Amino acid sequence: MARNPQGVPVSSKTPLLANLDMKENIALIKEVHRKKPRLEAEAEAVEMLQKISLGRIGSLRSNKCTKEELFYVMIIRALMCESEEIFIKTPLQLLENLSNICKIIENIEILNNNKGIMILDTRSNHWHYKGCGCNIVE
Amino acid sequence: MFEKVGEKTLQTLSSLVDVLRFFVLCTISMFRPSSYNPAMIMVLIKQIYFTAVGILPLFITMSVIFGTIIIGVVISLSTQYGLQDSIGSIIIAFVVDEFAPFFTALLISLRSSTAVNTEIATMKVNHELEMLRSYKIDLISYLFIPRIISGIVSVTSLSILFAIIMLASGYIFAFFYMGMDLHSYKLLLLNAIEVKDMAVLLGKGVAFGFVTMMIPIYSGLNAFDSYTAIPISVLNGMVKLFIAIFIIEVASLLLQSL
Repeated sequence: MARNPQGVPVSSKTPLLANLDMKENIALIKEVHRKKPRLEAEAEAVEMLQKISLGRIGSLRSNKCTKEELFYVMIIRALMCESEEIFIKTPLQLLENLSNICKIIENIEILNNNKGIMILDTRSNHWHYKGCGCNIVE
Repeated sequence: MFEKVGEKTLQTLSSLVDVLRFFVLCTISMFRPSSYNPAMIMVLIKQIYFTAVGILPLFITMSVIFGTIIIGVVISLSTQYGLQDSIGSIIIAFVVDEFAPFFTALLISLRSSTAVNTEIATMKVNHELEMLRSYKIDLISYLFIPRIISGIVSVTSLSILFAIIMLASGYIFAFFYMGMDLHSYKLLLLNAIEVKDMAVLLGKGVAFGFVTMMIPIYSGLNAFDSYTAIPISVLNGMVKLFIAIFIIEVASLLLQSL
């Protein structure tokens, strides 16, 4: 990647497109990079959402979803990219709080198709990740 | 003072070069097969729907009203000045060559160009453009080309529609004012219309369509990263767009007079 040679970023600087619904946001990546037909790409997007019981938000736009749902959609969109690594930068900027982070990490594991996912966060948020079953590197 | 004038001139020239570079980039991308993918085609369909189909009820109403009034004025003035023999040519030159493409471009500018300018500026402020770059999605082929093509298709097709409806509704006036029957009115127009008129209508439609989308996109793209910059960007974009429309109009008149 020109701007992110190491992997795909998920951060407050990579928001979802407001004029597309959730499944369209996810499908966009494969439609552009692999020229996958729209219906096929959207079906794959809905399938991914259903894995974490979020199939119902497929046709909703950003303003109808919670911050946590938007966060999952951003992760799924990143997983659709060909890059092998995903960097989630300071999730607190995307989520309301980190109290649910362990559950979110579990769901990310359900979605993950063998890609390296790294969460970059500040030291002050370190304790939120303890006991979440992820490697913490300082 | 000279320093200020020089600085302003250099700034204007530099932004003109930037616009030209953007124009060339968009034109080249339009003819590159790799620019076309399912996502881009979906955006193109939506844009054509919003620009050309959504406006139809208002557009048809306005073309009927203008058709009756303006053709009425043209016919009564031609009769007043003893130009009955040239009525057909005058109507065709006025409606097909000038009024239909110009009025369509103005209407599309007011309705769609402002929307496109605001949309691109908002996307920039919300970091959506940055996201597309991060995810290796080409802004020109995904965002700009569908809008430019939709502008060209919409302005050209609506200009043709506008001219047809205007000429057809002009018959209402011709019938009541001159007692002209439909056959004579049809012959009057068919004898007056030339290939040149069709070429002018198409050429202007394409040129107007291109600028009605390209200039707002460029203006939105150059907005600063703040919400207060959005209205400023729309304001600047619209001023530049109206200047461009008038330049095209004048250039076409000059070309036709050669």
